[in-house]
Amino acid sequence: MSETRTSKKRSKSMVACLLAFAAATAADAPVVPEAAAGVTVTPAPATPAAASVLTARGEPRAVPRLPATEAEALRRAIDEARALDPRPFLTTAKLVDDAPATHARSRGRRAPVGLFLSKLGRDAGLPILERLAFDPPRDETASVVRRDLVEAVGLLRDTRAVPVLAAILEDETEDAETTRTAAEALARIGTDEAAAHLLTALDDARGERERAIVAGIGECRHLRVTEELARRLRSTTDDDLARAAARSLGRAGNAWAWRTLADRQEESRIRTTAARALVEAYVHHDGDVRVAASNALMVVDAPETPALIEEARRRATPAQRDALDALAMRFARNPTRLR
Amino acid sequence: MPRGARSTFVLALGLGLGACASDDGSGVRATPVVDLRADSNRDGEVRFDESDANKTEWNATVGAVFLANIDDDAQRCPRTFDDAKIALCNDAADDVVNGPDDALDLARLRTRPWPEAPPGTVGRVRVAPAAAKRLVRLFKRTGPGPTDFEAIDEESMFSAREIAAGIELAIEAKDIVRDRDAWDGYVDVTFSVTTRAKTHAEDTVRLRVAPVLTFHHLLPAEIVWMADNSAPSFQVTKEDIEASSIAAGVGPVRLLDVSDQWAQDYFEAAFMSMPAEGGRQHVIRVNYRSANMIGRTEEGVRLRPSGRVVFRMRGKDVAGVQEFDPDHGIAMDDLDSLGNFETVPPYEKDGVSFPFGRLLRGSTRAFYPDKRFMKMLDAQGLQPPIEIDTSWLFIGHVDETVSFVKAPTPRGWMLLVASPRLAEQMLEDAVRAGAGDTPMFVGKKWLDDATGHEVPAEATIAEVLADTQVMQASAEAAAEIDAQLEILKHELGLTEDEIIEVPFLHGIYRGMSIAYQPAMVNALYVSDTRLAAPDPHGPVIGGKDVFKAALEERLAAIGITVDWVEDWDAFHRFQGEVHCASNVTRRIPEARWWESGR
Repeated sequence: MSETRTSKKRSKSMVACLLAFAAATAADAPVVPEAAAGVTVTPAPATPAAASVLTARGEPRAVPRLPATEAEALRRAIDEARALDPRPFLTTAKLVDDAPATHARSRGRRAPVGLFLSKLGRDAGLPILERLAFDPPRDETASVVRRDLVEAVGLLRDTRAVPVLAAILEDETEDAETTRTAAEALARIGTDEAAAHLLTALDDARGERERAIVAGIGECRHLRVTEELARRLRSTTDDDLARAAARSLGRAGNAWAWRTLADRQEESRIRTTAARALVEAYVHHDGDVRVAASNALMVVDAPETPALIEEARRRATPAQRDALDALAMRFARNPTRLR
Repeated sequence: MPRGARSTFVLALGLGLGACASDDGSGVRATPVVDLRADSNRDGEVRFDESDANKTEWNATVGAVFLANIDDDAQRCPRTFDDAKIALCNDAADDVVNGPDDALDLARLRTRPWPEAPPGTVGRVRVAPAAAKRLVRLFKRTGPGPTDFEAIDEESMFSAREIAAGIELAIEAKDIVRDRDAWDGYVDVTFSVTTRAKTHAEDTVRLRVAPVLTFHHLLPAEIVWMADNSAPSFQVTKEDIEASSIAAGVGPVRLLDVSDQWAQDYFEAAFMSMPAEGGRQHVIRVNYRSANMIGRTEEGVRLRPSGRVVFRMRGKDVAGVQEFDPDHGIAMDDLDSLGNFETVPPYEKDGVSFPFGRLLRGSTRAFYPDKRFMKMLDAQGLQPPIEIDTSWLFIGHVDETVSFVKAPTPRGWMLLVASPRLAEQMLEDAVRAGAGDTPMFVGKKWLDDATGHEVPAEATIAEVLADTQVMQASAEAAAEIDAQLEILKHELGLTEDEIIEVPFLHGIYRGMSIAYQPAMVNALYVSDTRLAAPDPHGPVIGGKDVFKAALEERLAAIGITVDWVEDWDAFHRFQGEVHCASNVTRRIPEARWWESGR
C-alpha cells in the first residue's frame, strides 16, 4: 500500500516538473467561453455548425479546448504553411473528405485513413492539425474520421500536435476509443511533455477511461510511464484493465521496437520493469490476462526473465509452479526470437 | 419384436369382452396392425422387412433422417423483403408441396397396410417432443401425383380405408436446429390406431433433422465467387484469381449479385443432406448470411446489405439462413464477418474423430462474435468450434493468420500459419548478405488513386527493419500467433512438421495489428495442387522475390503450385487479401454425416 502511495506521489511530482515549461500558459483562459458543451478555439468557425463534431452517440462535441496562446500560435503556423505551399492542404482535404468512402470500401468498414494521411509526410502535419483543431469533420462518420486525424499526427510524431492531443485526452467527455487513440498518439510523439500529459490524464482516470489511456500509453517508452503501468497492473482487480496494462507493458518493452530506436538509454530498465510486473501478473491472474502477460513477456524478451520466473516459482503454489514451468518453457523457445 | 422397435398394443380397459365390444360383431377383437416405418437403415427407401425395423434407436448405424425444407425450389420467394421478412420465405413456410422438387425434399414414412382394418377404425399421428411440434410438419399422400400431399396435424384422422391400404407420410422440418436447448433436432413420430371396439395400438419411429455442415479445404472447389465490382483495381485481382480458378479446372469466377468486394465475409457456403435411393445423398445447399450489422434504427437492426445475397442465391435445393442477436455489441461486429470462420479439415485425436472437421473462429471472453449465431453453429453438433484469440488484429479474422492445405502426410493436410518471425529472419539474413538496400513494394503506392497524390510504398529492407511500428507490431504478432498455435496444437494434435510458416510482417493501426506486407496466408485454396496467394512484392534478390520463393518452395514440397495474385491496390491497402476477395462453394463430401456417431 505504501509503495502505491509513494509511486503516485513520485508520478505527480514528475508531472509537475515536466509541465513546468507550460506554467506561463497555465492560466490562459480559453478564448471563447461556451456553455456546458465546452470551449471552442479561435478563430471562430465559419458557421455555428462548424463549432462542433458529433460524438459517437451523435451528440455535438466541441473542438479541442486549446489555450488561447496555443490556438493562436497554431493558427499562425497553419496560415504561414498554407501561404508557402497550399498543396498539402488540398491533398489532406481530399483524403479527409474521401475518408467516409474509404472506410466504406475497407474490410471491416474501417480503413487505415490515419496511416494513409501519415504517408503524406511531415508536410501534412499542419493541414491535419487544422482539420482537427479548427475544422473537424461533420458528417455521420465524423468521430471515426476525427480519430483518423488523431492517429495520423501521432504516426507523424509531430510535436506541434501535443497541445491539441492533450486537449482531446483531457476531455473526459470524449468516447473511450478517441481517448485511447489520443493517448497512443501522444505516446508515439514521446516527448517529456507528451509523457507528462499522459501521466496527468491517467492520474485521475477510472473505469473505461483508465482502460483507454492504459491501452494507448504503451508506446511511450519512458521509465516513469512504464513504472506507472506496472503499478496499475499490480494493483488492479479489473481483468480488462490488467489485460490492457499487460499489453502496454509488452509494447513499452518490445525488444524488436527498441532495436529501431536511437535513444536506448532506458531500454534495459524499462524491459526489466515490464518483465517483473508481467511475471507477477502471470502468477496472480489466469485466463486471458495470463495469456496477455505471457505474450508480452515474449515480446519484451528481457534477459532477466528466467530469473524472475524462478524467483516467482519459489513463492508459488503448486498450480502456479506448473504454470510458471510452462512459461519458462515457452520463454526458452521464445517465438519472437530469431533462430 | 426387433431391437429398438416400440409398438404398443393396448386393450381398452374397462370395456367388457362381449360381442358389443368386438369390431365385427363376432365377439373377437381385431388386433390392430400398427407398423410405422421410415428409412431407418438409411438406404433411401422405406421397407417393411427387417432392414428398417430398428426404428427408435438413432446412432452411427441406424436412424432415419429428414431435412429442414428451407430452400425455394420453385423460386417463389420475392427478393425485396426487409431483413426480418426475407429469411422467412422458403418451401417450409407454407403447408403445401410446391412442386415435384419440393416433394423430393421430404423424407418418407409409411404405415404397413392392414387390409383387415374393421370399419370405424381410425388412425392419428403425433410428434414429440413438444418443442418439435411447431418445427416439424407432416404430410400424407393423397394421390399418385408427385405433389399429391396434404399437410396433417395431430387432429387429422386416417380412415379405416386408408389404414387398410397403408399410408404414405412425408416429413419436413420448418427450420434448422438453432438452439439445442430448445430442440435438439430429434423427433419421435407416433402412429396410433384405434378400432371401434377401442382397441388401441401405436408405433413410433425416431428421426433426426440433418445438421448444416460447412466445407473444409480438402473438398474440391466447384465455384469460385467474387463480387460484381467494376473498379479497375478490383478487376486486376479478379483476372488473376480467375486465371488460377480456370487453371485449376474450376472454371471462370462466378459473380455475386453485389458489389461489396469482401466476398469472404458476408456468406458461408454449407449444406445439409439425407439418404437417397441408390446410396446417394439428397442435398440442400445452405448459405449462411453473416450476422454483420451496420447500425441500428428505430425500426431495428440494419444488417450488412450484401449479406442478402444468400437469399438471392436461394432456389432449387439452395437455402439461405440468417441468425443474429440484435443486442450484439457493434464494436465486435468485425468478428461476425465470415472471414472469421474457417473449417478445420477432418482429423482424429486421442481416439475422437471429427470426420467433417471443426469450425474455427476468433473469439475471447471479452471480444466475441454474435452469440446467437454461434449458438446456431454449435447446435449443428458435428463440427464443434475451436476458438482462438484474434482480438489483437485490427480486423480480427482467423483467415488473417491461418489456412489449411492438403498434404501427403498421415493426417492428409497441413496448417499454413503467418510467421512475422520468419519474415524478420529473412530480412535480417538479407541485410547480413549485403542486400539491405534492396527495395520492397516496388511500384506500389499507399494512397488511393482517387487522391491523385502518389505516395510510394517502396522501402528498402533496411528501412523496413528500422520502422519502429512495423517491428513492434511484428514481434507482438509473433507472440500472439504462437498463442493461437498452442491452442490449435492442443486441439488438433498438430506437430511442428505439420505446420508451414508463411512469412510476412505486421504493422499497427489503432493499437491493433494489420498485415504490413501482403498476407500470403490469406490465400484461396482453389484445388489440391493450386493456391492463389497475394503477390508479396518482396525484395528481389538474386533475380527472385525472396518471399515468393519462400512460399513456393514450402508448398512445392507437398505438391502445391502458387498462383500469384495482384491485390495490392484493391485489397491489401484496405486490410484484406485474396481469401477475403473470394468465396468458394465446394463439393459435397462422400462421407455421410449420419455415420459419424455425433
